[in-house]
Amino acid sequence: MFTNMETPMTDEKQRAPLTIPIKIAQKTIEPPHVGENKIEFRDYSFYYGKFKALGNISLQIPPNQITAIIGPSGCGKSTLLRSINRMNDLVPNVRTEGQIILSGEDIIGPSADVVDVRRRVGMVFQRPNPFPKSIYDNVAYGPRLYGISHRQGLDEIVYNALRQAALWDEVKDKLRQSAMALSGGQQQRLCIARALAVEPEVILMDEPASALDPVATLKIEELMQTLKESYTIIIVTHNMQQAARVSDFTAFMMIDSPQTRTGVMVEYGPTTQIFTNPKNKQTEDYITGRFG
Amino acid sequence: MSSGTNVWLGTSTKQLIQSRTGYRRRKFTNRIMLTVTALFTLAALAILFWIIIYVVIKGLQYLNLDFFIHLPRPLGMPGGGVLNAIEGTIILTILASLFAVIPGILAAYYVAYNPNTPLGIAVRFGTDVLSGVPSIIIGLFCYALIVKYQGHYSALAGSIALAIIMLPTIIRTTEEMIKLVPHSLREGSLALGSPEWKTAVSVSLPAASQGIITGILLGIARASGETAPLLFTALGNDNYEVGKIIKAGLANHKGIFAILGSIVTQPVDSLPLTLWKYAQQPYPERINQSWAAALVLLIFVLSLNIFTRIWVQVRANRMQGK
Amino acid sequence: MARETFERQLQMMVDQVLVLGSMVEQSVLAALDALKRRDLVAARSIYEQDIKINKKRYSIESECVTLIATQQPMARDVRFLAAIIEIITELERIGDYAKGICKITLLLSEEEIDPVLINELQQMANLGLDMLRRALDAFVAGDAAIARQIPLEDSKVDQFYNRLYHKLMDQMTADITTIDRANHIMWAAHNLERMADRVTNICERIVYVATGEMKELDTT
Repeated sequence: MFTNMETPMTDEKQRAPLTIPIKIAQKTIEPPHVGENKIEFRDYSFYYGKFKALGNISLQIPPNQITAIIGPSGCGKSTLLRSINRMNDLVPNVRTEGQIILSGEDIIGPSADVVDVRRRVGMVFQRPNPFPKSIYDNVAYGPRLYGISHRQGLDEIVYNALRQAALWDEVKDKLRQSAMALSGGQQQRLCIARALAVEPEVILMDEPASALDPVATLKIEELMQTLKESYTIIIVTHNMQQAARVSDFTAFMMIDSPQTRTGVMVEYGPTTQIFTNPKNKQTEDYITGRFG
Repeated sequence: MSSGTNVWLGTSTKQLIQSRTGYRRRKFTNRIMLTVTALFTLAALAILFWIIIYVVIKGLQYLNLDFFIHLPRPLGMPGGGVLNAIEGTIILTILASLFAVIPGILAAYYVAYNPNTPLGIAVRFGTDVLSGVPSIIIGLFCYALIVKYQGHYSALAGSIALAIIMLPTIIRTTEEMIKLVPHSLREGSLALGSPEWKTAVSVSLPAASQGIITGILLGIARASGETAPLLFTALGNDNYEVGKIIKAGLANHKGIFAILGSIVTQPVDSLPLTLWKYAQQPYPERINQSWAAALVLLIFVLSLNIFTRIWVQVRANRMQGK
Repeated sequence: MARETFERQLQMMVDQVLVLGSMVEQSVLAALDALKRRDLVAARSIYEQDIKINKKRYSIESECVTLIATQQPMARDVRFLAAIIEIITELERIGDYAKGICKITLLLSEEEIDPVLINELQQMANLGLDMLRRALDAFVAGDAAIARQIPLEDSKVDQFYNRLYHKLMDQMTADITTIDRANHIMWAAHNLERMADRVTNICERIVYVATGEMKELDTT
């Protein structure tokens, strides 16, 4: 991760204005421009009925990097994440404003195909949730949805996915056994393999290691470093040290006031800068643990 | 520490817990309650065992091979059986399951995920009411709707009545089981791009399958013991034998649907029905046969229940990878 | 309950640094005094006290490393601890300069020295020590504005050094028997000039803690 400090992109970011006092920040923040953005939030707001959960979020996620979203409990990090793969659609009575752009296309407008969005944006959840099927069937579930059969190379897809998730060696002899028999860390890597099997562009991770022991957590973190070469990764985490260890960019969110409880983006920048010299005092207070 | 004379005034919790009187009193109360609970448990189990043992004693002596493989013979002739009733019970059960299971599961799935829509509320309410309707009324209902329309009694009418009786059990159990499927499992499937119906079929229902099948088997166990609705719908048929019907149909070159039709549109007997009929007759032979029929019915229901439980446990173990 | 334990530990670090600063300050004052009074015994004693300064510096450094490992400090906290490690190094060097002056006292032993020269050295030392005291105050307060002002005094110390240098050069060229003594005095002056430079470095660290920028401060 420290090699990022040498790349020319870092200097560019240092020069761009990164945060503005929070009252103004509700409009737009100018995050660093890194060429084509993989995902872009344009003035995105999200409502549960009357309650404004996310307020005017503007954020640009660069490709093939790991972006971490941090913030205190209840500030809307998970809601933001789930907006990207439209999992919030499952909740009744929700409303959105603004746009979310994935590789140049709007994914929440009426012309967007939800099924395709969910294929392109994979998700790994907080608690591993493998299906109560065999390991093979778990990974093959996604490709089978899209009509891929044995003849069309299902075996190979499963193999590649398990390889990428650094799980192949551990399960190659027991592909037909139930996935529930694996350990927590293995189950989580299985869920990652399952998401990889449909060849996504983006992988969302909602506190992927919070239910795992330290060794399993480290394995997942190492895996993320490998995966970012091929995918864009966005991770929500409560663990600041993990965010600092693992991510290239960090976005800090907070609620704007105890009355309205709307989540807003406070600061966004390279991880090295956020954790050594954040520009916003609220970010600094949160990161150093003086918050609250 | 308190000496036990004035335990309640002016003592701290710690003193209270540590005082000897308090301890002895608590131990005593504990023993009393355990004894009472054990007694009630024994009472409940005793009744069950009493029924089983009584039926076994009364029925076992009249149970023989003829009983299972022969149609009823006129009084005085030895070797009569209740093959018609056994086959009738099986046919009715199979048909009733066919009619009840699929609508039941679909209704339960809908209710589980849309409990507060008008339709969801209606289904839930209707299910609760239906489970309380006396089965004889359901029989009358099927009589008015099906028997009168067809002009004759039939297994079809009987199985529809039984299906209606099974439906509330299936819907309720299936709904509970579907609700027990962790939300995360559904989310995992949806996040891969699976549409709602595929998620239901590939993930939610298989995950709930143990419970659903339990519900179905319990519904069957209940329905197979019903007599009243069959009085008006299936009536009873001393000559019912599926093997004979099939042979006759083949001999007359009837098509498969015609053969199935003749199996299904005849009046049939069932074990509870036979039991009831024979028990009312003043002949000792018939009464003995009804005890035997009772025993067969009891064994059928018991084994279905026990099998269900064992099967659930085995599958659970397999899923955990043991 | 916002990290009270950690806050206390950070406060202890500040106190420790002040202790070290005070030890170093005492050392410089005593060294100059020993030189003035030509007290060889005192000089030797101060020379040997330097070990305590070194030990103190290592103990503070090790404490900082422990805090970094156990408390996962971020942002200002981690800059603070990193800066302390540098500051105590600078302080320890200043202590070494005091030790150097004591050595010079011992080398000069009974030789004749012009009291004017010694007076100049004293003034240089006072300037430097004043800078040090103010720097330590700025460190406690975390005040970058004050810290930016202090290095400007360095030029005064440099001027003193230059005057002394030329005076001694003149003396040496006039009377070659004084070269040995003059050289020692020059070396003492050099130490004191370097002391002011060290204080400038300390001020740079203070600015770094406050703002996150690492850059050289102007001394003019």
